[in-house]
Amino acid sequence: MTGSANGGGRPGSRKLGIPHRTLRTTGVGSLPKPPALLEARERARRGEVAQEELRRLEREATEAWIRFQEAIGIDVPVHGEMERGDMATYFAELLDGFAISGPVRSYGNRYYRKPIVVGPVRRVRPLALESWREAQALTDRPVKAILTGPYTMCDWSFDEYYPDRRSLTLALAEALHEEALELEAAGAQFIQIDEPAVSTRPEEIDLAIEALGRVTRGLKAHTVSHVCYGHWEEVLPALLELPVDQLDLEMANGDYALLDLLRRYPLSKEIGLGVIDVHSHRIESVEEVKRGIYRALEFLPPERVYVDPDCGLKTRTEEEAKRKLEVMVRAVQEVRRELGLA
Amino acid sequence: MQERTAHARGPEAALLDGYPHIPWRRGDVNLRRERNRFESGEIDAAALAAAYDATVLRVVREQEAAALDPVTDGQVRQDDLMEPLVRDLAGLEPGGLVRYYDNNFYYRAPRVTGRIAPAGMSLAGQTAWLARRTERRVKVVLPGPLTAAALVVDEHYHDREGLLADLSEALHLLAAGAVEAGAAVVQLDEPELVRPQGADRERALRDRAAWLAEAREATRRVVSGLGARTQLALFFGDAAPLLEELAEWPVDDVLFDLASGPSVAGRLAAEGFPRGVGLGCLDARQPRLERVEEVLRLVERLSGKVPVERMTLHPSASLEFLPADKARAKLERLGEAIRAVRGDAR
Repeated sequence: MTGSANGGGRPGSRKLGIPHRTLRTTGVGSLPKPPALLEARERARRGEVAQEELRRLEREATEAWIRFQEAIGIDVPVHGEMERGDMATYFAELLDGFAISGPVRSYGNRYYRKPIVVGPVRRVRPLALESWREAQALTDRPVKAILTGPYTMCDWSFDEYYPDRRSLTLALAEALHEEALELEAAGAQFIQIDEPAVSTRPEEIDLAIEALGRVTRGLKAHTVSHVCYGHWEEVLPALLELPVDQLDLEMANGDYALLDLLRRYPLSKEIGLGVIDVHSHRIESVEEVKRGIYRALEFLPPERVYVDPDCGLKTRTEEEAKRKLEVMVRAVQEVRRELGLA
Repeated sequence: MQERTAHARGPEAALLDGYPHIPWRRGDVNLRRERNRFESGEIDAAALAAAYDATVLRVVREQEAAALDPVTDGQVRQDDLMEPLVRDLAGLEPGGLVRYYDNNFYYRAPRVTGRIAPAGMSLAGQTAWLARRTERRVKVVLPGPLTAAALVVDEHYHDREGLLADLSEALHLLAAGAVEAGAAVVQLDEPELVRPQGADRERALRDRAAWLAEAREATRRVVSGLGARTQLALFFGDAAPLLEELAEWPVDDVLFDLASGPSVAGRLAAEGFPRGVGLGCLDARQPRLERVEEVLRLVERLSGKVPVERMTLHPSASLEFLPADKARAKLERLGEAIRAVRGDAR
């Protein structure tokens, strides 16, 4: 967990580079799937589209998103999760020990198929490795590899097998650790372990920290944890002890109120600054994003701030997501210019 | 208006509040799909409204078939507990998404941007609509004042007492409107009382007696003079430490989540309870289906101290936390259980 993130790592034979040293821009995970892919996923479920054809469409969409992120100047792109539906269900489908239930609502009109733990959890095949490898082959910028963390996987599943939440969470941590090691060996410089559920139960924050520590132990890659939509006052400052290099947090959703909480504590980690509300159709203005960034820079050094959306953008249309990301990058460019940053 | 079922006391069974918006079997209107179709412009507002109506009716018919009484609309017309307030009260605007207690479920935390006061009648209208379409009693569910105060983001009052007073008054007027429109039961959801968060937790630790007195007084303001049966629903936490105070709460019934606080059952069995008792005996957050015998044993265990006719069986929380088929199975099991209890009672 002590990666330098200087952009000098070498997956395969190519040298990867990050264009900027300050206010680096990145994604959080998901990006909208193009309509053709959405339709193909639906038809594939009914057996009307072959898996090879689905994979071809996923690769095509991934490449389009990588090219877009390069074109607008994202420093650390994401592959966009074209092959994933829900962030917990996707991993549950690949791990041994899970069954998948029918859809359960998470908010508004959004649903996910909630995993059910029915046996011992084991990693029997790669989880995120192949999709990351394919995306990384498309660009000279380091693509962030993204996993769903053990505490969140536990919290978002029904458990009909393990005696308690701790046993399940730690079993998941071991499985995810294996995946993280393989991602690093394959050249991943940034490994993000999403833990949105970590803010759920203050009384279990120590378990979440322990489990994440098992995932990141021994890693040299730059590690990130994304946490969102919680009651922050309940889990700070313990949240700052998550064993990763960077905490990626939603800020725009709460009108940057979280910054006022964060500034009360000494911060040694990098902060991923969410500046785009991913649940609103409204496109932010460059000025409001700049205001958010300046508020963060009141107490955070620019080399420790990564700028990104609040969360994955899959709920937006392609058009909305692109416009939001363009606004984000433009705001960062203007702040860099105004402050004379590299 | 159709003739209501008698108001005679239980034993009875009811949903606690929510029920999945999507159907458990093919062929029924799928509200999720219809909402997506509306978003993409494939159907108009009238067609979407018809889909909502059809879904509420399906949910009510399922409750009727399972011998549940009173019935609720399954909270089909709202995305979260707070939405009816945002819809019908001035001074509240939709805000950012926040996790709903310890669930992978999110609500839009209303922003308080002005003085809170009634400004709309949609809850009353929906209640009247439902009351015309069922012979069962209709239960209306609102957030309790403590929970409502905890879930809003106050940008206006900056004064706890003022916020709570206006919220309580507004909740009272909303509830009164619903009663006038045909609601026979008004339930206040107060998870904050058993799972206090942030400022409430601090208050509870600092001066528990004052915090409880404030919550009780706020409840009294909401239910005072309503002319309907009133219920306090406690879920996501253990109510055992509050039983003494709850015995004095100004409501007819207190509904307990026995999945989050299993020791409550033992306390009730040993000490009794001077009000109606809700037994949240079907775990709404785990798909494992309880057996009727388990429910019967529980009822029997309590019946020495709590008269069976004052008991209500219900899920521990909203059944929306389960997939539709599992929620449906719990609903049917609830019906089987209440029939078995009534058989025993006779």
